[in-house]
Amino acid sequence: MADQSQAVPVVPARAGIGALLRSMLRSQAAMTTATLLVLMAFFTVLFPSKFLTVFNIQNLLIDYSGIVLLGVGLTFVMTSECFDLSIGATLVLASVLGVEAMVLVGGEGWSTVLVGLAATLLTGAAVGVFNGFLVVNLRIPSIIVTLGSLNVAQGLAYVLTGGQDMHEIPNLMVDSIGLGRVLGIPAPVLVSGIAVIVGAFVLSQTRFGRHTCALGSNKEAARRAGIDVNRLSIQLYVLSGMCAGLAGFMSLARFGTTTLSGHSTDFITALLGVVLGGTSLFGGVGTVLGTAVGVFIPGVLSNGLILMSVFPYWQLVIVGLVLCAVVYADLVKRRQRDD
Amino acid sequence: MGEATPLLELRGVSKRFGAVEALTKVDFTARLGEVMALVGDNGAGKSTLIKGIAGIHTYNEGQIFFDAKPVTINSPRDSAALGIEVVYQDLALADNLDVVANMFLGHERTQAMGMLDEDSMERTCIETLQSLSVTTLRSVRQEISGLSGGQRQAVAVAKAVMRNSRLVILDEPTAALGVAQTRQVLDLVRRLADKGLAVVLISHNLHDIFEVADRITVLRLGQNVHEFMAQQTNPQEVVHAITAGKMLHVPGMAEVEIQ
Repeated sequence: MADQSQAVPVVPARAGIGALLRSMLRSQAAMTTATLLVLMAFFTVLFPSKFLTVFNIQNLLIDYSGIVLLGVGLTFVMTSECFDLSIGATLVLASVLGVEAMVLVGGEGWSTVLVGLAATLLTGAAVGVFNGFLVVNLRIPSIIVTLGSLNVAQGLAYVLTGGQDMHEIPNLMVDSIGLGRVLGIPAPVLVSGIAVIVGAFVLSQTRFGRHTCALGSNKEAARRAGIDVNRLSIQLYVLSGMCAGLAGFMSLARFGTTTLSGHSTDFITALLGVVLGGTSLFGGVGTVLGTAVGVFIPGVLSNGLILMSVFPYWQLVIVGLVLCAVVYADLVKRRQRDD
Repeated sequence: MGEATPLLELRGVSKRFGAVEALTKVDFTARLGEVMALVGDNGAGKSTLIKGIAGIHTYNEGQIFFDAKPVTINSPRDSAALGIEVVYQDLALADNLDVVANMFLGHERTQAMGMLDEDSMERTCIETLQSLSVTTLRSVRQEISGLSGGQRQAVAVAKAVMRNSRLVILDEPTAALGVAQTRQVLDLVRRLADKGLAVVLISHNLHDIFEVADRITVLRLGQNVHEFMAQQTNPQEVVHAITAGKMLHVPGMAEVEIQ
C-alpha cells in the first residue's frame, strides 16, 4: 500500500467521443439495439416485400419522430431522478395554443409559422416552469405534480377548443415542414435527428449534463458540490416541456390539425423507449442515443403487428408488459451492483 | 513536533442551541504537518465544533485565527476560501459517476463549445491520487458504485486535497471499514500530514488515533478537557479524560474558578 513508486493503473480508453461509443457498446443500449435488429430481421423474413422497404421504414421514422422528441426531454428529466408524465398533454396544449397564435396574427407566410413555433415552445416552457416550481418549491413528488399538469394541460386544450380540433394552419407549414424534405430526408426526421444529436452531446459531454447525472445519482452530493440543484431541476422541466412543445409544432405541421385525442399513449411509448435505451428509472444514468434507438422497438413492433393483421391495440398491451419487464431488469441490475 | 504557530486556532468558542450549551469556551488548534485527533463521547460537541469550522453554523462567542490572523467563518464558502475541506462521514459521492467526475463535481473543466475537458481532469485526478499514493483503484474511470468503502474514502479525501486545501477535516473516516481498509485509510491520513497539510481526525477508535495522531484533543460535555501529545500519553489516560475529565466551566452557571 505504501509503495510510492506504483502508479494508479488507468484504463487507457478516455472519455469524450470514445466514451460515448463505449457507453453505447456496453450495457443496455447494445442489448436494445440488438433487440431492435432482431425484431426487424423477424419482420423482414415474415414480410420480405413489405417491411424492409424504403417507404415503410421512412414512414416508421416519420411516425415516431414526435415520440423521439418527447423521449429526448424525458431522458434528461429521468436522469435527474424525476418524472414528467405531462409531456403528451403538453404536446396537445402547445399545438392548440400554436394554432390560436397563428390565427391571432393571421397570414399564411413564414412569419406566421414562426409565431406558431414560438407559441408552442413557450407553452412547453410554461408547463415546465409550472412543473418545476411545484416540484422544487412546494416539494410535491414529481409523479403527482406531472400527473396533475397532464390533466391541466389536456383539460385546457379541450376548454380552448371546445373539444373540436382546429385546422387553421398555413399550407406552407404543412407543405414545407410536415411533408418537406431536406436533401431527401423528411423534415420531421431531420428535426428529431438534430434534437437527438444535440441532446446526446449536452447530456454526455457538457457540465449541464454531468450535473444532471449527479443530481439523479446523489442530490446531496450535488448540492454540496455547489450545484444549484433547484435551478437545475426547473431547467430540466423547462427542457422537457420545450421538447414537448416542439413535438406539438411538428405534429401540427404533419397532420394540419390539432390532434386533441391522438396523444394519450405518447407518454408511455416515450417512457418505454427511454428505459429500453438504458436510462434508469432510478436516476443518475441516461443516454439520449439509447432513447432514440429504444423508441423504435415499440415502433417496429406496432408496424410489424399491423403487417401481421393483428388488432393494433395489442401493441398497447405489449408496451405495458415490456415496460414492467425492463424496469424489473434495471432493478435486478441495481440490486446486484449494490450488494 | 515544534510549537509552530497553529494554522487554525479556536479561542474560547461557545455554541448555544436555545437553552442547550453545546460548546463552552473551547480552545482548539490544528497545525500544519500534524494530525490532530478530536475525541469525545457521543454528544461531547465534536460535530458542533467541526460545523463551526466548516461554516455550517457560527459560534456564539470566541475567536477563530487562521494563519495567526483573526477570521470569520459564516458559510461553507468562507471556509472553503480559507482552504478548509471537510470529508463528512457519508462522503457525498455520486454512485453512478466515475472517480474523475466525482472529484471534479461542481468544478468541471471545459474546453471549446462547453465540452468537458476529460483528459485534463483525468490527468489531474491521477496526479492527485498518485501524490497520495492511492494505488488500490483499478481505474479512475470506475464508477463509485464499484468501489469498496476504503476506496470511496480515498476518493473523498483526494477530492478534498485536490482543491489546494490546507486543512482537511475527516469525520470518522474508518467507522464503516474492515481491518485492511482501515489500515489503508490511516496510512492516507498520515500521508496528508506528511505532505504538510493540517489534518483533523474525528474518531471513536483510540487504536486508530494512537496510530496516526500527533495530538489529541478531548471534548467532554461541550468542553475542552485536555489536549494531549500522543507520544506522551496512553489510551487509559485518554479514556479517563473522555469519561471523567475535569470540567473547567459549569454550563449555565456564572464563572467561578473551580481550580
